[in-house]
Amino acid sequence: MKFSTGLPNCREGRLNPIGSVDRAWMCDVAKAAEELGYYSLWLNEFLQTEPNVAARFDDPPAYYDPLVTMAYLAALTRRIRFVTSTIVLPHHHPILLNRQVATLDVLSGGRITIGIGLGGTLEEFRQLRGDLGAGNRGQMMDEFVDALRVLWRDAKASYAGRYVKFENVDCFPKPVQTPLPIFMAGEAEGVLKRIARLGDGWIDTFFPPDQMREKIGQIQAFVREARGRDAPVEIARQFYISLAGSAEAAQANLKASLPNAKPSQAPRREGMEMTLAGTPGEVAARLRRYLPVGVTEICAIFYSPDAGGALRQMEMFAREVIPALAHSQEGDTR
Amino acid sequence: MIKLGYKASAEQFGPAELLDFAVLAEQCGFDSVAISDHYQPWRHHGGHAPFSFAWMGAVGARTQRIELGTSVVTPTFRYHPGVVAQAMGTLASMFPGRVWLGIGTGESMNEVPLGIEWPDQKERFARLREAAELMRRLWTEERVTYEGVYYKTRNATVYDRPDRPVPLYIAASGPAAAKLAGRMAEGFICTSGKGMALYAETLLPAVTESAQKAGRSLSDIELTIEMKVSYDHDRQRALEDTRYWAQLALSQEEKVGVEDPVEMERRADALPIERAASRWIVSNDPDEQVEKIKPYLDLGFTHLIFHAPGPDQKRFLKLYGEEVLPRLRKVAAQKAPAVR
Repeated sequence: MKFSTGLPNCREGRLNPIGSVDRAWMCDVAKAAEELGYYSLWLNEFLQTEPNVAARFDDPPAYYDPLVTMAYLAALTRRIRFVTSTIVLPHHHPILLNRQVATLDVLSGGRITIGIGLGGTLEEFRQLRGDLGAGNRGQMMDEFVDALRVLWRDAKASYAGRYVKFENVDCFPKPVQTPLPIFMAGEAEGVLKRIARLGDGWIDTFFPPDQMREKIGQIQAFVREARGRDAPVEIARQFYISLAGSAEAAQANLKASLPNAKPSQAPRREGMEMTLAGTPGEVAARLRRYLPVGVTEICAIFYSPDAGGALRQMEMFAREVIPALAHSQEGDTR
Repeated sequence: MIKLGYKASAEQFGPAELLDFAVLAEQCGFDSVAISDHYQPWRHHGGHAPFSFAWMGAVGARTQRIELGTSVVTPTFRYHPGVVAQAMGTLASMFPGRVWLGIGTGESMNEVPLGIEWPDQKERFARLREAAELMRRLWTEERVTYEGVYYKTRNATVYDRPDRPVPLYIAASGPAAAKLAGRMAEGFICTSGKGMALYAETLLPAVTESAQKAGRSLSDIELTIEMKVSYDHDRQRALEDTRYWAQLALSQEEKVGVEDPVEMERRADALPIERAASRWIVSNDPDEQVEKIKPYLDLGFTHLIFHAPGPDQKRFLKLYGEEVLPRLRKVAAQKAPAVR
């Protein structure tokens, strides 16, 4: 099991107060994550204020670009990996994205995983990518991933799709990693099939263990269908966590992380498990249910009003929760 | 009285060198020495796996007072529990009052290479329970006829054994084995660095509860923990020393079904040093060591066995014996022994 943690690059108004995230916070988290032995740092992407955040707060959140932030933080670290969870693929042009990611992979020494999603709303997509009109975003995902792989592989790269076309693009450097891992988020059958055909991992944020097990079974069946054999697919699950010495303190931290918030307008999805709040023992007990399902990476993203609170929870999680999960089985007496 | 012991890493050192360490541990003020019992080590390169019972005989002969134990032996696959009872009977006859037997459900890497089928945890635990019962009877009775699911004896007698049965310590990482220890064993063993919630919320309550149910007092049970500590005046050296034992940081999922030391070594080496060190109390400051060990004393552990990961064990024994053990004894003495 790999354990990772989140950077607050686009989390104001969701897990952190509006106006709270700054350079020092992100640098401190990156350095501490490496010292504490976390496997990777996860960044997300919003280009403009989310409607629900706009509805809850008077001031706009600051959203730092994940690829640029990764480049900056890769220079401050030497070992830890970086994951985008997720960048909204249809918003990016594949040729430009190819070069950004390849450059990042080379400069970081092969520490990049690209997590991609459909993201946003159709309105936002039309607003940002008027050039593509009312296209089929699912097909765009397929084509863009294909195009990225071709650009990362071929000296004279050519691709002819409905939404992206190029011929003899002679673009270097290529990524250090072959292949550079691409994870995909989403739950629709089309997404799971796309992971089986083109992806290296699935990112989930919602499902409880039994439903995850079902989806993982589907991915594995699609893998056999698409590739004619079994192949390993990484299963990465992210959680929004508030960790403290007592259940009351964990609830207080949730409140303090979103001061002056108006009630959320986002529809609630019943039965989903996104947020965990409690003591290390309580959080470990919730997370333990995901171990037998086939999850290979757990990303703990912390609610916090400030950098200090985030660092304290990262340390508590590393010292109390990770060992409790890694070594909790009967018979593992070592 | 608190006991402070030394863990002799049989996976890391050959028998003669390890013997010198045990002798030095006595000279440096340690109260006990415990050895692991492997058929194969964790690492192929530079790994060792001396036979624990033979080695304990030599340690007993070269020392005067130090306690000798196993942490731990698996008495359920490559050894018949009746033979383990005999080996310990012999050792206890030669070194009365100084030996104990720690047992656990085992690891596949020590059994599978000998052609033994590796059953599920349920059967491994059922075997351990039977073995514990059978060994206890062989240490207290003559002409033992035992009809277990896994072990049977007919009029078996261990002829050489002391009058008092050999103290039995049971290793636990979950509630089932902890309950077995609470019900019937003289000692309970676990290992440090797995998150305090495991000890405070799962293991120790299970020992306590089952001891009470069996009408026993917790003070009848030596609450033992292998403390993973890396101590050196050079902090970076203390950190790097944990590299050899990186496999301890592998999760159950990461090491399941790995019987080959070559493969185990590969997986362990793939971990970053920070993750490798995650189980260890790494420090260059004796007060920091004590401060991080104290929570375990506060939970009620009475026998701490220190496992150091580095290549220079003699340096560790001297430094720890001089700088940390006296501080720990002071802290333990200040802690009122109200419970026990």
